[in-house]
Amino acid sequence: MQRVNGSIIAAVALTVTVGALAFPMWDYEDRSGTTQAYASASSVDTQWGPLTAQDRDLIYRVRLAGLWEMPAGKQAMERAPTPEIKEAGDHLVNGHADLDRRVRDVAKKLGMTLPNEPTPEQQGWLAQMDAAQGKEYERTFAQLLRSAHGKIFPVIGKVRNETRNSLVRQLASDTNQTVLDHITMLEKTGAVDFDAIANAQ
Amino acid sequence: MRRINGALIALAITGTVGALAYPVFYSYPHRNDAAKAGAVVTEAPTINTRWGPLTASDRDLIVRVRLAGLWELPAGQQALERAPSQAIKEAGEHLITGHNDLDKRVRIIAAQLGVELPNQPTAQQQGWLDEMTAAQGKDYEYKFANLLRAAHGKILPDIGTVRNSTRNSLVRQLASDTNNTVLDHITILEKTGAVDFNFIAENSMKGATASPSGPPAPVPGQQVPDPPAVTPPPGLNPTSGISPSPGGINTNRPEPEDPDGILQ
Repeated sequence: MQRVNGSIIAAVALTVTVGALAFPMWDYEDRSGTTQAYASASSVDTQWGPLTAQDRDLIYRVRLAGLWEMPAGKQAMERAPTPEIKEAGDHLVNGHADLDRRVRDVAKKLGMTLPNEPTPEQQGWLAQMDAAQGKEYERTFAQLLRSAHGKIFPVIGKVRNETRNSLVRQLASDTNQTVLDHITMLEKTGAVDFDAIANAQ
Repeated sequence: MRRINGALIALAITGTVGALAYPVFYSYPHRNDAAKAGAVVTEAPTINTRWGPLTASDRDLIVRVRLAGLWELPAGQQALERAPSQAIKEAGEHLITGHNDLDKRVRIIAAQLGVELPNQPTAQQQGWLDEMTAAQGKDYEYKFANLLRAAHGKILPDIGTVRNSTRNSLVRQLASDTNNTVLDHITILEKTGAVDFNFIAENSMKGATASPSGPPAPVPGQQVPDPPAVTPPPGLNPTSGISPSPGGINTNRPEPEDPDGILQ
């Protein structure tokens, strides 16, 4: 009896020891690594400089922006409940047609496959605008588009600073200017709720 | 005796298990605490103004725009005088024009909002000026381009954050103007050919913890299909210019209004 108990305790102790030693290895991916390791993680070399995951994310997001903001801008121009909303739609349409040309060129050079459909979230925003009427449409249009542009704006700045890829560097500069123009035009509609934007931080 | 041995073994096992568990359940989950504590800024209260609430991050931007002028104007002046290359001279000119303009704006706004401005660069900024003054030849070009490029690159995402989240209309306009000037300076500094992008990237990513994730990497040599263009449908005739000066940064803007005569 004494023997059996001892063996069980020893076995349990050994299992726990081995388990505890092994545990830290598991899901160790998010450790604070060296900066070099971080910078090169999932990065590939191209003739325009290294292309990081963060660079590719910006390229995707510029393409996705065009896929839902073009129809949103078109609708704003057609419904045109106010001259300011029509003007904002005009800027969305022209700005994203221009950025889409640029991002397709960059993606082709880098050999990246781009999405051709907006995300389910973006489709949801388009559906919300389709369904909204009157003042509710104006608020929904201004708020959804202002939020999306405001959210990406600091990310563009981060990529513009950190990228080592010359194509991504130019795309980030162009996107910075277009997004700031859209933010400004959307705010001119007078329908942006700044408290809601600040509280979403 | 047997009894005592048993207690000793139990104690030893508990100690071992505890020592093994500690790093797993405490040290590891708290591994980034020190870095986080370093990043925490004491949040000063938000105050109300007639241009909307003014938060601690709004005031921080105002002070940083002022500080930028305090060291970048002498740095630009020196670049203009030493002018080891035409590109560095031109970068110096942009620094002077841009920060003269921003400094006017920030002084007017600070007076309107009652924010106290510094009149001396920080010790760190003074150190950068000293480094540039001491450097000679190619070393000067490297120091000039990289110290200034690093400072501009660091503030660019912060300007974006404030531009998005501020509820103060004066700060909103300042953030827009600063964004364009800073992006212009970044661009012109890079044109000197002396910016070391590996240094900038590594310097900016210090302390990054999360694994980068993103869309799949392209496979070299693999052809990808041409995606359909996003273009305005026929019949829709947008008239606005394409976003302001794609490919270049337009920093032309009207002189600031000075209702309180701050610039006199």
